[in-house]
Amino acid sequence: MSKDNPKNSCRGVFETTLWSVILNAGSKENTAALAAWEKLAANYWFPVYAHVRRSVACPEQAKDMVQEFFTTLIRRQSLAKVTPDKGRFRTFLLTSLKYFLSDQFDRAAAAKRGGEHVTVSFDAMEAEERCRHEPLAEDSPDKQFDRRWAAALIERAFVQLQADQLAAGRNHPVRTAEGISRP
Amino acid sequence: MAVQLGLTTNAVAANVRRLRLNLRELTLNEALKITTTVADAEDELRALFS
Repeated sequence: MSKDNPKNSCRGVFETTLWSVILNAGSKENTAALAAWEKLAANYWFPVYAHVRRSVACPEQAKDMVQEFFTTLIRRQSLAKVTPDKGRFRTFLLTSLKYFLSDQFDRAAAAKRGGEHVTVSFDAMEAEERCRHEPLAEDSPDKQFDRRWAAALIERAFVQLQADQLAAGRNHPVRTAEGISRP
Repeated sequence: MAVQLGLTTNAVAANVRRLRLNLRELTLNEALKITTTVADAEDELRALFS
């Protein structure tokens, strides 16, 4: 079994590598890539939101900026220059976010929106609640981003584990690292 | 805990082992969505959790 083949695993059920779908699309318009973007944005909106929120006082404005950020990534076809051997999705996203925020703060007027949009479904109030419950961290913003990213990743795995348990007829709740039983 | 669940201690231990293995695999699966190969996914997990 090739270690580099994403389709190989002991379960044999690895899902599509979303990052590969996006990279392979490059600058071309591609519905599969757009769907992949929407999935990734839905899974990892919180690290992005929390990073934006450091610089933006209003939760609603922060939410709008997160939506605009993901839309801008597609509209500018930023991935045309990215190749699979260049960095990780997490690094790409954080670097792009820094440029985006810098650009946003330099603008006098908001750019008109157009083209394809990625709609990231999240509740700004829920995000605020999560921000409030986070420990006061003295880490660098980048470290905080990585910590939230790790939490988002492990939460996704817990949600899937819970779903697998229920599908197998095991009703004992699986508790996340936060001690919260997920539906 | 075993009493609460109506299981033997050994059965609870076996279930915990199985859950840990499943979670490890699901975590790798999630990492794979944001990388391109299993090796990259394992590197990503090492970078995030070590």
